[in-house]
Amino acid sequence: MSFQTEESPLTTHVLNTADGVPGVRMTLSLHRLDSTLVIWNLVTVGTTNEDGRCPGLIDNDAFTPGMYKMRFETGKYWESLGHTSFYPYVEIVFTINKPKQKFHLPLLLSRFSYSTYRGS
Amino acid sequence: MSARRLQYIKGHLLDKDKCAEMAASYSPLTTHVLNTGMGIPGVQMALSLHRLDPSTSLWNLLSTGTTNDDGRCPDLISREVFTPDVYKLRFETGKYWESLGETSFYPYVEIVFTITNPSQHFHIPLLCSRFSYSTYRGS
Repeated sequence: MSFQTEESPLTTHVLNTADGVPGVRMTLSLHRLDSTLVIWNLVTVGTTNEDGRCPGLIDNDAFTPGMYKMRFETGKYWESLGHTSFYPYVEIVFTINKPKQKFHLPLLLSRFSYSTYRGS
Repeated sequence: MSARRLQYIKGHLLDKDKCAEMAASYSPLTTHVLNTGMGIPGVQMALSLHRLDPSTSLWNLLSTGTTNDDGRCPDLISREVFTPDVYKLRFETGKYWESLGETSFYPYVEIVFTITNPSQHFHIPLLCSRFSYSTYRGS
């Protein structure tokens, strides 16, 4: 019997709002702040799939309360499409107090704008 | 043209020195913080502007400020030092929401952007609520 890995409690979705398509093959990374050393520890590196998503960001066990950062390599993404962009990268820093919940962190972006929100 | 009309127009013109002073203090980079959760300007939010030193990959602090009653912060940078580089605007959103007695998902917001043509004007607003934010390149 195959063992299904649990879904990550933290998910993301990159949407290219300028072209009305998912943000495909964008590199991203998740970091956790080590509050004692005040440095960022790299947790995961990934690339968005054909739907602009990146499953398996973090395990439930590893998702402890703390400050996290999602970094999206937006500059490289637009470059791969043959465009320049105003933002070389986007970093979203957020605080997790109740890691038992689900957190969905989308990034909606164009070459000259972006937005994000806390979803579930 | 009547003398009265001439006097009226003259009143709208600044003398040469004042013009120069205004031009010097006009920042080519501006921001505007809007509290979209409550539909008001983001007043008294601390923020800072940094420039990336490409040789060391370190951020150099250029200026700090606090938004005024309209959510704006004039005089971020002068045109003379506004070189083509990578900059970062950091907004102390966590402290802002805390001062309103609220928690927030984002302890701070940093917007990193590239300036290739510093002769233009760049407006970088931050529209934020406790659980969302957005920004765009305005003029």
